[in-house]
Amino acid sequence: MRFYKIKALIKLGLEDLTKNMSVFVYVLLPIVFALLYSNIDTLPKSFTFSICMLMNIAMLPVSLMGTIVAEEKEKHTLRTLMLNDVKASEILFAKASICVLFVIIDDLIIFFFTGLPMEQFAIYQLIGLFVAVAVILFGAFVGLFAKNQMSAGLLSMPFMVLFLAPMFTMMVDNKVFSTITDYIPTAAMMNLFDCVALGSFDFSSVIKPFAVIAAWLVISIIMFNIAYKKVGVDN
Amino acid sequence: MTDYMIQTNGLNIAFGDKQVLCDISFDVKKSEIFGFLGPSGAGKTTTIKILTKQLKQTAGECTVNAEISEIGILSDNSGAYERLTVYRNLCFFAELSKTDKAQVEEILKKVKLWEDRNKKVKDLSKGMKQRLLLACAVIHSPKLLFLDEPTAALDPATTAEIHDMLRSLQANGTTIFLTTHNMEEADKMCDRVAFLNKGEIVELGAPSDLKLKYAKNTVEILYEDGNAITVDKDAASIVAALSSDNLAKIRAIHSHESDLAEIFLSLTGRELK
Repeated sequence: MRFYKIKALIKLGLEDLTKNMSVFVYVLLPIVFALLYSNIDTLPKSFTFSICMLMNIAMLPVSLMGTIVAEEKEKHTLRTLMLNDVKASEILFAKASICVLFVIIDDLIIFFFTGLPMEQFAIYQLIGLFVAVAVILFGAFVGLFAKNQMSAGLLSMPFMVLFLAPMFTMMVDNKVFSTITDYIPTAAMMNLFDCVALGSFDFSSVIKPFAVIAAWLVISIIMFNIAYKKVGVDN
Repeated sequence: MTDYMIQTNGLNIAFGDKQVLCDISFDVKKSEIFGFLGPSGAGKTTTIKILTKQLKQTAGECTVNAEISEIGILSDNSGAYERLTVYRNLCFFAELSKTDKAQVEEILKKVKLWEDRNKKVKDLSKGMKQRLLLACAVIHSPKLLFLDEPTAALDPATTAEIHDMLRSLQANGTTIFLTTHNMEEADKMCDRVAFLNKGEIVELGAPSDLKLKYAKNTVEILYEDGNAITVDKDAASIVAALSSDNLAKIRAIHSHESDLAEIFLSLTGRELK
């Protein structure tokens, strides 16, 4: 991978994304939620943070990554890039970097809106980033299969519903459903946030959620590799 | 050191049962404009895709004496970032190839887009967009340029501007591989052309040589009164025609040369559309 190409791709991608309101809304949505929830005084700060982070991690990486890769295909810029001596890995790395950057920005804004103690800042961010990487790879998987932005939206929907499942467990009091969702990476993330909030961030409490996230990371890498080998970047 | 930029030998490709290219062999010399002519579906774009490694041939060999970074491509699948300006798009392609940004201004002036540099790509006309895509394809001064129907559906003025630019690129040493079904363009621009029909090369040579080779064996004698007669090109027939009573009334004598479209039609029975 050549850094100067990745740098050019990231610069252009950021510029293009900020001018694309239909996609940029994915970035703004979690911030709007954070703003709304943080103004509800009855909700604990850690809960507000947890729920906003869930929305951020469940929705932003998959939809953003899927859509920006699919748009490059739809507008033929992906083919143009690849014929201009840009490798597929460089394009995907640049796109993933843009997604990670926006996830981090959203995480930061959510953290400050919810007013959690600063000493917990680093651990919250690291947990969020760890889950985001796995989820972004699912977004890349969506982008590889989608031929245009519309199909990317459709393909990312099941992943978004899956990753938002922990929110539904709060609405439905069902033990089986709750046990199943514990094995979803975003639920594992929320469990880790709970550990941080309750001051019980010890090995025995965090091993299971971390194992769940790691397993999903492995699954996403495998799925991404299969898709990459099967369809390439520009199908 | 080879004098050729591209060498192919017995290229074949099939998609399922459909044979798209059959034993294609040709060479493209350095700094020449080589025209690959044929109707839609003849296999022109497929050939470019093989030469640029977007497709792998099923049989045969091809050698392209340029690295991917030394190649420029303009095809109907080329695209630009529509929400960004002309200038930003070209700067991006310059950054990708580590080209000096001073080149951006120079190229934009060459393709006559400097005045429109702050326009967003989505607001450009088709001709302007095509000129921008050409600028993106040549910003890194490629050794080899593939152009797939670069002037299709463009107005004559834009076409002439693109032709001027191609000539100046050739003068600077760029080899150009041009596919078109516009015979006039091929005749004007190409040093050599290959006729492609149903995946096979049916003729190859310089346009002037081909026109001589397939010239009709007749001459046309035009008279002052507007009448014309066609006689065989052999000396006896011409002398007989000139020694007639009408000699003083002759306005012009033309040999009958076929144009490239007529040659293609005579070789394949198909029109180049």
